[in-house]
Amino acid sequence: MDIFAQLLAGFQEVLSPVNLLFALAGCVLGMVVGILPGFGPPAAMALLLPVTYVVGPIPGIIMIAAILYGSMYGGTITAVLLNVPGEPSSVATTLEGYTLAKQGRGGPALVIAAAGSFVGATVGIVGMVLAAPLAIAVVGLGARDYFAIGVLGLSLVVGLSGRNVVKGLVCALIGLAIGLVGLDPVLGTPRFTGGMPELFDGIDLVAVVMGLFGLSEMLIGLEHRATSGRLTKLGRIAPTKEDWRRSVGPMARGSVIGFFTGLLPGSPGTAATFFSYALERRVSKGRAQFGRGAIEGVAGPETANNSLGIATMIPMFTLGIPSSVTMAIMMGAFIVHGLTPGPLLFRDHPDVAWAIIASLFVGNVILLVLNVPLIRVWLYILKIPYSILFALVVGLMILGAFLVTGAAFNILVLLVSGIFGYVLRKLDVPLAPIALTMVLGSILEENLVRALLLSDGDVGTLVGSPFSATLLTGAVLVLCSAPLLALLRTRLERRRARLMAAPTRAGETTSLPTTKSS
Amino acid sequence: MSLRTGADDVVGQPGDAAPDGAATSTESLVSWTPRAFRIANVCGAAAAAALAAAILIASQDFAFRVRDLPGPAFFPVVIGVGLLGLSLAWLVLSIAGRIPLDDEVEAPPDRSAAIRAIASLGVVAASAFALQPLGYPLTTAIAVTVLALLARARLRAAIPAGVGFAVLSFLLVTTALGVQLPTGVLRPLLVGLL
Repeated sequence: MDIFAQLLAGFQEVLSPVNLLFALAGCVLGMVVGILPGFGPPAAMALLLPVTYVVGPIPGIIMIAAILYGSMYGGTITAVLLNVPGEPSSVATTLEGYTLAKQGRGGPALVIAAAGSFVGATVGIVGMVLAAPLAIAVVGLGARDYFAIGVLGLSLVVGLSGRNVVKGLVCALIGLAIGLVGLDPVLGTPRFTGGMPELFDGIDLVAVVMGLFGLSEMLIGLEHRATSGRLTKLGRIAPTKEDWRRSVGPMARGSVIGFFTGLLPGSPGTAATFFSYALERRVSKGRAQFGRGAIEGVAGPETANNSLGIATMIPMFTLGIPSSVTMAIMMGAFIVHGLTPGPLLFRDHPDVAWAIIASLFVGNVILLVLNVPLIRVWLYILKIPYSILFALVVGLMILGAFLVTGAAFNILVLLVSGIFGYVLRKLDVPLAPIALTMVLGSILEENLVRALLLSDGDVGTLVGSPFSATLLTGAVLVLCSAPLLALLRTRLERRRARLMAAPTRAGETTSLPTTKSS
Repeated sequence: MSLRTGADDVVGQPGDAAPDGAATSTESLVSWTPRAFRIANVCGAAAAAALAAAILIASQDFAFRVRDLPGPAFFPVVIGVGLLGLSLAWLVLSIAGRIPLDDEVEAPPDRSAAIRAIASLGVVAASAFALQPLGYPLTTAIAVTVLALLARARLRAAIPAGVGFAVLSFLLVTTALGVQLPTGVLRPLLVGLL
């Protein structure tokens, strides 16, 4: 069956009432959690992941994907209306979006952002469909090739570590160490379990991720002074014809920028969105309006952000490499549903793989349709006091941790992970590598042992196939590029600072907002 | 990480209800001194090194090689050695003051917030132990109410939030999702109702 026939079958699966319902629920829940203070997409996905446990694999994965883009859009709402971006990659949106909102044009900015998100996601999905044959082509990979894939995934830690590469690598190894707990994959020997039967199956990824990203964020929120940011007025919601006309070019350029940036291993989303913003500021017809509320400054970065979001799924779907923390969490969702992302997914469960790809498109249509009528509803959620939000979200985490395994032990795992995440945040240690390596650890160990077993212990076998040799070389190059990445990051920060300092009106400069989630 | 909103922000106290047209966000109160941040990083690096040492010591209970192949101790030893080396690198960088400290770094906890955070963690721990004997609805109602109070909500807002969340989530999970939750001491009452 060719890929388009399979995609069509995927659409048939997704368009069943049950799956549509879960896609809708995922979008709504994602948007609700995405606009909560302190919740970016990783924390939102971690919080809602247990909800997907109680349904089957296809609706479960459809729901978690919907939660991802729902929470991304939730972050955009706060970026435009409150000047509080949900994630670093939404910072660029605040520059023009919040300025537009202050002028009473928050509604058009949000609609253009939603349309841009849809366009960007659609471009990403088309790219994903075209990349699917790559996964099918590499189905015959052996253990050494999977080991090489794992090593390449591990090298992405450099990109996820930000400016603290040493701390990032320490965290990556801690993630691998957490993954050691349980039965070893060779002899089935219990390791580091302390004789506790609850740990024989290993430490639960969901509880760890919820604690690291969710509970720690809530604890940090507790020690901050509650600040009531005045919500800007939405005004007329529909954009004008002129807004649409001016947004077409930025959306097209943003799609391309986001897609290709997303394919680069470990590339930060901020790079794509700020590149798009800087490009529009230079080439768009409305460039004179930048700093005073240019719709192009919302359309371009938002499109790039969503195109990038889907493009980062391509390495995971085709090779099984999670190239960002959200993808590591999504990979965890696959694993708990008994699925292995990568080439084997297309071979063993093509119905699931194509249904998920189709669901990305359907989910984005739902999001586009939902966002306009529900904007005013989300605003009410933003008005709930933090003290109540804190209690409800922690309550939800306790429930989620319990639901995963049906054992109260998982609540203690959540607790310990929350404390650990809190301490790491205080020390400015990046958390993303832990989630990534917890997922990759077992892949690395199992395939290393299998490869050596098949070659009678010959270590040379690890570079014995062109595929594994290429990937291992790629991993070495990525690791060696760390200093270059640090240099690029510094230049990007300087460029951001320059963009912020650029005069808007007489004597006024744009303030740089920081994200509500780290 | 400090959170800034617009120039026309209205600053309130934790737990305050947002005024009309206002939305809740959070803002940090304190910041690190370079010396305190350096000491914190030294402690962090030392803890990571201690973890590495513990992994290496515990790995001695397992076989490193089994029939010329990596045994159960192989991966832990590789990870332990790597972690030890990188922890020492972190330690050296911290002592040398080469760890960057700027506005992006999360502020240290202040005393009152730390007490509230520790108390909140205590509530989470207590709920893990109370879940089976007390049951989900009762445990959650108490836990959410206490958590809201710890976050400085008013009692008249905290109680409805706790009870409402417990009842709604229990009904949703048991009836809509079909998953059983512990009923504990409320079992006779809930079995009759459901």
